[in-house]
Amino acid sequence: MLNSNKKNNLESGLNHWLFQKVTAVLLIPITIWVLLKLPKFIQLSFSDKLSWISSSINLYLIALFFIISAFHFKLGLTVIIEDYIHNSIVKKYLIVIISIIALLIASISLGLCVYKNLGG
Amino acid sequence: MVELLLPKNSKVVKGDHYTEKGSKKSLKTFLIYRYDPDKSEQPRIDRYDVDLSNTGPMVLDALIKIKNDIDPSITFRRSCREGVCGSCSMNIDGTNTLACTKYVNDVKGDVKIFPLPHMPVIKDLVPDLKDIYKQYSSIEPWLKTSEKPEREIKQSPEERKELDGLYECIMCFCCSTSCPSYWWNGDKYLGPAVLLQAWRWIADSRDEATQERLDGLEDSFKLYRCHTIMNCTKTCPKGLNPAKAIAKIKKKILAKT
Repeated sequence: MLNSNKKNNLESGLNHWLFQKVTAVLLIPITIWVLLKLPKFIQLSFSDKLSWISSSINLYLIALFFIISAFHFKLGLTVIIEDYIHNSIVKKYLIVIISIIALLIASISLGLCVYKNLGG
Repeated sequence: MVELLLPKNSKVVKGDHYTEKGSKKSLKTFLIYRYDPDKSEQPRIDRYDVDLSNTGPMVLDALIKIKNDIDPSITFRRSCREGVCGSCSMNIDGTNTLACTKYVNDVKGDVKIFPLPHMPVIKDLVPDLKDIYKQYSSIEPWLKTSEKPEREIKQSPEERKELDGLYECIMCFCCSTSCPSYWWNGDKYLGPAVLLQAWRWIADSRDEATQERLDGLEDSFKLYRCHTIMNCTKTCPKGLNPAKAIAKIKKKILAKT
């Protein structure tokens, strides 16, 4: 049963485990930053909120927060689904759905950064 | 899909009540799980009031007394009665442990005894361990060398020390059967007992199949279903630390990649 066949990236337990740890560590400082900024941000008016987000550093950090969170969310939920859902078809579809959601969150965040860079 | 209803044999009913003669002070109540899958009856909890004044101090002593003097139909495994063979592992007072090393007096109130959790039951307190033994054999638990040595392969004291905390495992499977991850995915996840043994051979300086062993374990289910819940370390009746062994395998795989 021991086999030395190299697995591809998707099957690799190591990559999944490693990325989950790395994204968790990266999220610590950035989440602290978000939590520190959030109380003040909520009290701003809508136009002030827009101008706060349009500041480059704020936009990039918020985008980074959403991109890393989306990746971490995808990795974490995949493990939970693999643990508890034993019907292989349901399991497969649920993982596809959460992957699409994570990809959408990451793409929108990235798209906003690109739009900003293009002078939007 | 998620199973919303429990199987029929999950419902445990009240069983018979047996009382030994003796002073009220020396009587201790044992509530023991009884189930025979060959019969159509539901599992039941039998109640035994045992006179502890003329028996040994361990739960296994009381079980042997029940079998000899009260109810010969009760079934359990036992052999060495000194914590070396791992046969009498069962769930006592809510914790997986060895009946032979668990003092009756350490249990407050009634002594509740169940088989190891989440394993198929052969009868009463005897779990079916054939799948877990298959998993154990899958890690090829023997020394692998490229050449057949003429004499024993020597180790330095430091190399030998690496095996401390690993070689003492008696394969009672208290740890694996306490692990929720093993409950949900026991068919694919190897579980703490088998992974501790896997590390025992990886850590052995004389073994030459380290990379092969690590490649075999690098799988999202076999190894990485360990979510460091730590039930394994908490329950081990020999005081070993399977969770640490699993973490060392993960670290070694990372270092070798």
